[in-house]
Parts: sequence; C-alpha cells; structure tokens
Amino acid sequence: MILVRHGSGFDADERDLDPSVGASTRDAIRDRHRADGRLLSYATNLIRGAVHGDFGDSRSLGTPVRELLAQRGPTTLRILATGTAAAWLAGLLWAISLAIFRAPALAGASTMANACLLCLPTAAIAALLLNANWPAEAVLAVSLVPKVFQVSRGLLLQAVENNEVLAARARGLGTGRILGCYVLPRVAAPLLAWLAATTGMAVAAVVPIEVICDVPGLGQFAWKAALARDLPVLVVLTLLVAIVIQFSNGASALVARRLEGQRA
Amino acid sequence: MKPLRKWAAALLLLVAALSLASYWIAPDYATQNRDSIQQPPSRQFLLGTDELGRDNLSRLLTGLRLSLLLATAGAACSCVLALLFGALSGFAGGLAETFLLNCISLVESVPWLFLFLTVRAMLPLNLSPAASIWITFAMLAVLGWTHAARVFQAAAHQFRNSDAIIYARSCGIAGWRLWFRQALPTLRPVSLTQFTILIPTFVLAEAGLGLLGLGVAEPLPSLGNLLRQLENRELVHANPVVLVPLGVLVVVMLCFRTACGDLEITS
Repeated sequence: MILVRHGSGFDADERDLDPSVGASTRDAIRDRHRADGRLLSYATNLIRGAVHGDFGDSRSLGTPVRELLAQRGPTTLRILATGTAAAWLAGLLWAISLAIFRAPALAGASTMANACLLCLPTAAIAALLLNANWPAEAVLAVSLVPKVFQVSRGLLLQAVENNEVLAARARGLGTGRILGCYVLPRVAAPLLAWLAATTGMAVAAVVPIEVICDVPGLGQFAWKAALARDLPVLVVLTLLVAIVIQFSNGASALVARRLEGQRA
Repeated sequence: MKPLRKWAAALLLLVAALSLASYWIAPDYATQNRDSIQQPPSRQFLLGTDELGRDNLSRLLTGLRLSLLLATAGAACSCVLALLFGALSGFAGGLAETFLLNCISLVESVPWLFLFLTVRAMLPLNLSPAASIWITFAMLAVLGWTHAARVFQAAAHQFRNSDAIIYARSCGIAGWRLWFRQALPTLRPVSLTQFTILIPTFVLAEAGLGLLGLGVAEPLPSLGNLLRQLENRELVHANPVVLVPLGVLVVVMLCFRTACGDLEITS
C-alpha cells in the first residue's frame, strides 16, 4: 500500500481533463483522491469496504471491482482447478510409473524431459502450445507437471527405499498393495504441502497463460490493469491472491499435521 | 567435479564469453536495416533479421549478456538481503527470530508476479530502456530473497546451537567477533549455493516478464523480449530461426542446473 500510495500517478485522474465533467464532480473526485492519499485512511477504507464486499471502482473501466471480479473469476477458477488437477494426475502417474518400472533409460529420459520443461518460462510454454491450439487449462497443466513430478518422484524414491517397503516386497506383496498401503500413505503429508505450494505457482502462472492465450480471466485483468495503471484493481487482486495462498498453505499444513498424527 | 558438471560449466563459460564478446563481434543490436526486414539467415545476418530489420544474432548476444550480467547482480543483491534477514534471525534466536521469520513469511505470501505488476504500473510511462532493465532486476532482487533467507536462517540456527559456538565462547570470543569472524564464514558455502540457484531463477523470471512486455524495454534486447517473437504464429511457422533464443535459454538453464548438481540429484 505504501508503494501504491507513493507511486507516480496515484492521485491523477483523466476525468480532470474532461470538459464535460462539471466543477462539483471534479471537486468530489479530488476530495476522494485526497482521502485516498492518506495512507492510514486509504488502508482503513480498503479493509472496511472489503469486509462489506465493496472493493472500490476500477479507474480504467469505471466499473465496481466486485462486478469485474465476479465476471472474470469463474473463468480463472475453472482454469486453475482443471489445470492443477490435470498436472497432479499426470505428474503423479509419471512419478509412480517410474518408481514401479525402474528402467535407467526411462529414468534418464524423464529427468532430461523434466529438466527441459523446468527451463522454460510459463509464458514461453503458453506461446508454443498456443501455436498448436492447446487450451489454457492444458497449458497450465504442462507448466505445472514438471514441478509436481520432480517433488513427487523424489518423495516416492525415498519411500520405496524404506525398510517397511523392502520388507513388504520380501513378503511377496503385489505392487499395487505396496503402493496403496506403504508408499502413498508415507508421502501423503509432504505431497499435500506441495499441493498448497503448487496452488501459489498456478496462480502466478495463470497471468502469462491468460495473457498469451487471450482468456478473459483475472490474470489477464491484472495485466490489463497494470498496463492501464489501474492501481485500485491491482491492490485488490494482490491482496485477494495473497489471502488465497495463505489460506491454502494453512489448510494444507493443518491436514498434513493431522495425517502425520494419524501415522504416528 | 563429475565430467557432466565440468562440461556444463565449460559450456556456460563459453556462452558467457560469447555474450561478453558481443561488444566487439556484434555491437549493432539497434541498427535498423529497413531494406532487409524479417530476412531468413544469410551470410550478412547469420540468424536473420527481425520485423525492424535488426540483426537477430547481435540482439541475441547482447540480450544474453544483459540477462546474465544483471541476473548475477540481482542474485548477489538478493543473497545479501537474504543473508541479512536469515542470518540475523538464525543467530539472534528468541523473539527476534520469530519476528523476522514472520516478516519473511509475510513477504513470501505476497504473490510476486502481482506485486511486480503493481510496481510496474506505478513507474512513469517515459521510463528509459536502461532504467527499465535496472528496475526489472532490482525488483526481482527485492522480491526473490525469501527462500534463500529461510535456508540461511536454518543454517544459522543450526550453527547457533552447535559445539563450535560453545567452544568459541569458552575461549573468550564474544560479541561481534563471535558472529562476524566465527559464525558468518560458516554460511559461505550456503551463500554460494543460494547465489548459483538464484541466477537461473532470475534469468527465467526476466524471460517470463519480457514475454509479457513487462521486462526490459525496447530497443534494449534481453532474453525475455527476444522471446516475444514466439507469439507471432505465422512468423514461427515461416521462419523457425525465431526459436533460437528459446533454445539458447534452455541450454543456458540446463547448464546452470547441471553445473549446480541439480540434475544429478533428480536422477
């Protein structure tokens, strides 16, 4: 908020230059800007409004931010939910199959492919896949898969080397049963923590994906707001995203602690 | 050092040397040749030209130089910030440690891309290209130190409870001498690791921002704004040479990861 308040153009309004706007309206606008200019009152007004569901008005579009969020939110939520679920499914299946079939050539090829994907910025992945007409959800999944795979593979490799698993294998238990009863419960808690981390990554990745794929979601909205210097929108979006990330981190830590407690 | 890491480090040095040599071998990155717009590779322009007739090779080498140099500078600044917060909280312990850890968590919870968009929105519209490149990497440095700070904090916390500190205290070493001459040098290997991890992270972050038009401003080239040509579907199909900057980025990142030993760990 300090950054926003002291940014250039914070108290500028293009309606000041509009001859059709009357003097009283102009005074009201200036009064409002003056009130926003005081950091403490700006923060208080923002929080008070947010509590009542009022996030202020977009300066560039002249529409309440709440309405804009309601229009664009579902699109982003759909991309986030589908993309993250697909990434986790693909990443976990990839890691599990490597933990079961321990072929060195397959492991090497997977490491190389994963490393190459990790070396690409999300925006570049989006630009490349857009050329092949892939939807935004698939682009998000592709950008998240290497992160899911890398961590889950490391955890699974550690888990399959565990004495319990070795003993189960020696007893002649089937692969599916070993996975379901010994390996997956062991890695569930850290994977859950990583799920929360990937939520944050997905939220960050959705901005370039929506911009490049031209999807009218919150990510594209934030980018357009940045280009239009629409600071109230950006402040609200940043705060909302921070709250979502904190909430997902907190929830995953809680569930992971409970899972660990059950295992102990 | 394993042979693969040696090769990766050597290739990385070669790329860095080539990019530094761009001062002499390809200095005209901004010269517009209006009669040779979007040309395929030729003897005059080895990687062809862009939509303004500028030499792609010159722009690639200069962009690589700017990205690598400024990512290194940004990583150094980030490391200093992380060391300041992390080491201070780890060595101090108690309430100070809790307070500083909470500060780190607070910065960590802010979505960096959204914050970056906010800060970019506040910059003047007539920002010079040189200022844009400094601001981009300075902001990456200011926003990217939290993970490293946690690592420093853990290392410092471990050292605070180690036998070495008890021994140093029993020898009569106390106060700033204890922390500056005994404790801080133990964080040197961690600092080096974090520094080498942060450089490719910043190169990648700049590339992502550049693709969105939020990184380094034209006419200065960077890996990010060179990748913007990927958005032009017709150009990618007609002239696949525009994929070269992406290939170079992947090679540089792979070399960094291999040289840091990251690929060995995963394999």
